[in-house]
Amino acid sequence: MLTVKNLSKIYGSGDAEVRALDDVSFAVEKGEFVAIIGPSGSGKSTLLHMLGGVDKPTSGKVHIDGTDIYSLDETKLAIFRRRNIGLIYQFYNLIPTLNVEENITLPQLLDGRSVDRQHLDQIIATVGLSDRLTHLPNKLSGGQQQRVSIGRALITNPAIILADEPTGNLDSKSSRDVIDLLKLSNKKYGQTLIVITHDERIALQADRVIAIEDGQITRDEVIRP
Amino acid sequence: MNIINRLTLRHLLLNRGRTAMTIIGIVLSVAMVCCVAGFLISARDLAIQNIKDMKGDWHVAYIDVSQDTADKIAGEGVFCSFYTKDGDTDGYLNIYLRLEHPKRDVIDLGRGIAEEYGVETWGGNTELLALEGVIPYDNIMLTFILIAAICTAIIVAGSVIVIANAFYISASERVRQFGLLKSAGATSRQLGRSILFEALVLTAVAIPIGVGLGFLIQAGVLWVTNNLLSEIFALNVHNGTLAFRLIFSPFIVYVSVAIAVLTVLASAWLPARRAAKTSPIDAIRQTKDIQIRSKKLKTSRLTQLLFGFEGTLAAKSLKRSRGKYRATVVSLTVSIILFITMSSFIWVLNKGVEMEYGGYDFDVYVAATGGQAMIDEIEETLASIPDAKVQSMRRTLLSTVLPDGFMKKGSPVKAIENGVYALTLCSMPDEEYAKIFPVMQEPLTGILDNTVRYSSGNKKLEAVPFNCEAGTQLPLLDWGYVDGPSGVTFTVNSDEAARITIGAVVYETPKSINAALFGDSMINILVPESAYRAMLLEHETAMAKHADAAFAVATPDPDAFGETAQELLAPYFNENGSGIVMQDVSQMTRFNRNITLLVMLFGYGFIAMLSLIAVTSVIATISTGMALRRQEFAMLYSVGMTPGGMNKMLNLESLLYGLKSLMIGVPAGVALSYLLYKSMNYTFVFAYKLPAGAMAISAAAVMLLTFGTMRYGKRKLGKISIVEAIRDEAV
Ligand SMILES: Nc1ncnc2c1ncn2[C@@H]1O[C@H](COP(=O)(O)OP(=O)(O)OP(=O)(O)O)[C@@H](O)[C@H]1O
Ligand SMILES: [Mg+2]
Repeated sequence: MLTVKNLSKIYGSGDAEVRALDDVSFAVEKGEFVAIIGPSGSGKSTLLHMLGGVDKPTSGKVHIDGTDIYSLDETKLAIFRRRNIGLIYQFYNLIPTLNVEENITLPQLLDGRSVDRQHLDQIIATVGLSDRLTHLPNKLSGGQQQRVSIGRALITNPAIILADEPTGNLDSKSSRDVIDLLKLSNKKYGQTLIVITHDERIALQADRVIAIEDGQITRDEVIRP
Repeated sequence: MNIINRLTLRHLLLNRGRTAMTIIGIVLSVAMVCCVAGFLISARDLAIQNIKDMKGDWHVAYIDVSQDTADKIAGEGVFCSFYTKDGDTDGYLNIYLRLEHPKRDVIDLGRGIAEEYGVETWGGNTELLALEGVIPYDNIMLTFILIAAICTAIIVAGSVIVIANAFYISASERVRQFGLLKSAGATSRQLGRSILFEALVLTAVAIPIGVGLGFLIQAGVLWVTNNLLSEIFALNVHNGTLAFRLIFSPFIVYVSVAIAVLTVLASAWLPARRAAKTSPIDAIRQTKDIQIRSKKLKTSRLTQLLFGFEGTLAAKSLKRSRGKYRATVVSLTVSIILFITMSSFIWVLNKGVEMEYGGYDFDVYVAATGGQAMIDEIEETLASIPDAKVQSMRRTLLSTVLPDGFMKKGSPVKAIENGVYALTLCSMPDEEYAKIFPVMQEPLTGILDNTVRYSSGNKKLEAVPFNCEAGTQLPLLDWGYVDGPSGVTFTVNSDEAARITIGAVVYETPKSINAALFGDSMINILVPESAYRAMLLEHETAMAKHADAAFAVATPDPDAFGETAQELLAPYFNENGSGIVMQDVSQMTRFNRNITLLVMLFGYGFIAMLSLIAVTSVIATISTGMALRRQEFAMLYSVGMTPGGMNKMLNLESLLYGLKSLMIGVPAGVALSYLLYKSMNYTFVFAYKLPAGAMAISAAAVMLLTFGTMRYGKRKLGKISIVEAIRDEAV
C-alpha cells in the first residue's frame, strides 16, 4: 500500500548541510498501525511530510497505492492529497478565518462534495467539539485546536492517516480518546495509520514500531502481526 | 538606541518594499502640499505684481499737494519710501508712499496725516495692502484661499488614509512581535513609542525628498502655465510682462513639514494605541485581527453557486479580516470618487469655457455668398493658400412650418412670425453623413442637430429644443422681402418648395462639423453634400438664392493668410451681389484653448498625484496582506487545494475588493460631480452628462490594480513550500 524507497532529504548545503533523512526504505501494509519514535531532531516530522506529499524529497520515491506521488503535477498531487491523505501536524495548523466546522470540512469542501452530516456529527462528537462549532481557531485552547486538525484529517475517510504527535498538547484522558478515535477509524475503515509519538504507551498499542535516529531507521519491529 | 527601536529599524529594513511604499506615500503628500502652498504663494505674488503694475507700488497717496507739504509728509517717520508725480494742477504734485511697518490701522493713519496737513484728496492702495496681508482680504482672494484650503484638505485626507494604512499594516505585522516583547516585560508606553519612532524615521527620510520633489513639480507646472499665460495676456495691455515666479518661501516648507508630521502622527497614533491596549496573549494569537461578528457568517448562495467553494472561502476571508479589507476598499473608493469628481469638474469647467468663448478651434472665419460655381472656386482658392487647412459648410437659409408638438415646452427657439420658423440646411461630406444615416438622393433626408446654445441675461444656456422622431417631415419654404405700402415686409411663399425627411436626430454636433459655422437660425439640419447640390440645382428659383458658404480656416499665421486671401479673392469681392466676409478669430481661439489647457493642467495634475498616492497604498495593502497569509495558503495547499483553486480564490477576492469599492465610489463620485455641475449652473446652463468615461476608466483601473497586485503578490510568494511556511511561525 505504501512503499518508501531510498528516501533522502537534505536541508541547506555546505557547512550548514543537514541530512534530515538518509536513504530510508520501508513498506507499510494496508490497515497497518505504525508508530514512529525517535529523539527530537531525528527526522520524524520530515519523513511524515514526505509521506504526506507536502514536501519534496531530495532523492528517493514514495508510492501510495501504486501511485508515485512525486511524479504527479501540483494539481494532481493536491487532489490526491485531499482524497487519500489525512495529515495532522505537530503544530496544529488551522485557517484562522474559518470556524471549527469549516476547518474540519475543508478538504471535502475543496473537493466540491457535500458534507455527510451524520459522519460529520460523529467526528465532531468524537473529537469533543460539539459546543465549539462556530468558534474561530484563535478562541480555542491548544488541545482543542489539535482536535480540530484531527477532525479535519478524518473527515474524508482517507486511506492513510499521518499524525505528528497528535497528543502532544493533550491531557492523558483526551490523549487516550484521540488515540482510541484514530484506532477506531483504523479498524473500522481499514485505514493505514502512521503516528509519530514520544509516548511509550501509545507506541505499544501499535502493530509495528519504527525507530529513527539521525535520519536513519535503527529499529523496525512488528509487535502485533 | 534601545532594543525596541533597534527591532523597529530591523523591521523596516526587512520589509523594504512596504517601507519604500510608505515613504513614497509621505513623499507624495509632502510634495503635493508643497505644490498647493507654492501655487498659492506664486498666485499671490502674481497678483501683487499685477497691482503694482496697474496702480503702483504704494500704500497711501496724497493728490495735488504743494511741494512743501509733500516734503513734510515724506518726512513722517512711518514712511520708508516715496515717489512723486506731477499733479493735475500746475505746481502741485501727487505723492505716493510706502509704510515701513504697515499695520491694520493704516487707513486711519493715512486719514490722520491727510487731516494734519489739510490734504483733501488722498487714498490707500487697499488691494496691495490686502495682498501684503496688512488688512483683511477681499472676496476674490478669499475664494482663492478657500480653493487652496479645500485642495489641501483633500490631499491631507487622502494621505492620512494612505499613510495610516501603511502603519496599520506594519503594526499588525508586528502584533506578534509586540506580544512577545510584552510578555518579556516591555511596557505599553515603550511599544507605543516604538511606533512613533518608526513614524519619525520615515518622516525624516521622506520630508526632504518630498519638499524637493514639490518644488520641482511646481517649477514644471509654473513653466508650462507661464507659456500658456503669456498667450492669454498677449491680449492684454500688459504685454506678457506678468508671469508666475517660483518662490522659495520658508513658509511653504514649514507648512508642508507641519502637515506631513501631523499626518504621520495621526496615522501612527491608532496602531500605537492598539498595540498598547492589546494583551500579550491576544497579540501572540492575533485575536484582534479576526473577529467573529455573527455566529454564522453569511456568504451568499450566489457566490457558492458561481464560484464554488473557493469563492465562499474568499468571501469569508475578506469578511473576517475586516481591517485590512476595509483599508484597501477605502483607499480604492477615495481614489475612485476623486477621479470621477475631478474629471467631471474638468468637463464642467471646459463646458463653461466653451460656452463663454464659443468653442472656436480655428483661426480665420470666411463667409461667402453667391452661386454654387463661384463658391466652389472660392473654396478652391482658399485651399490653395499654403499652410492653411480649410473646412467648409454650404448653407441655405429657408423657412418652415413645424408640426404640432415638435417644439418642446420652454424651447428658446422663436418663430419669425406666426408659425413660421427659420431653418438652415447645412451640407456635410457624404461619407461622414453615411456614418450616422445612409445617404439617399430621393427623397431628401437630413440629420437634425437637436442642441442650441444661446444666452439670456448673464446666463449662457445650452438646451435640447425639439421633440423630434426620425421620419418626421418638414416643408421647405421660400421667403423674401416685398415692397409694400407699409414699407418692406417679410413674406413667406406658402407653396412648398420641397420637403425634407428627418432621417436621424443627434444631440451633439458631429465631430466633423464645426458648430461655429452654423448660421443664426436655431433649426439646423445636416444634409449630405451630394443631395444638397442636387437639391439646389432642382430648386434653382426657390432655394439657390438663399445659399451661401462658411469656411473655417486653421493656419499658423492668420495675418499672412488674410493678405494672401484678400489678393487672390479680389475678383470675387462685391461682384454682382456676392460678398465675402473674413474675420480673424485666432485670438479668441487661442484664449479658449489656453484656458482649457490651464484647467486640464491643474485638474489632471491633481488627479495624477492623488491617484498615485492611492495606488501606492492599495499595492502596499494588498501585497503585504498576501505576504501575511503565507501560512494560510500553505495550509490550504496541504489539505489539497489545487493551484487552480488558489487562483480562483484570489481572483474572487480581487473581484470583491474591486466591486465593493466601485459600488460605493462610483455613485458617490457621480453625486459629487452632480453637485459641482449644479454649482456651475448659476451662470452656465446645460444638460448634465454622466461622467461615463471616467466611470469606465476607474472601473478598469480598479480591476487592473486589484488583480495585478494579487497576481504580483502571489508571484512574489513564489512556490510555497508547504512545510516551511507552516513551520514559519513568523515571530
Ligand atoms: N527547513 C529546514 N531547514 C534546515 N534544517 C531543517 C529544516 N527542517 C528540519 N531541519 C532539520 O532536520 C532535522 C530533522 O527535523 P525534524 O523536524 O524532522 O525532527 P523531528 O524528529 O520531528 O523532531 P521533534 O521530535 O523535535 O519534532 C533537524 O535536525 C532539523 O534541524
Ligand atoms: Mg517533529
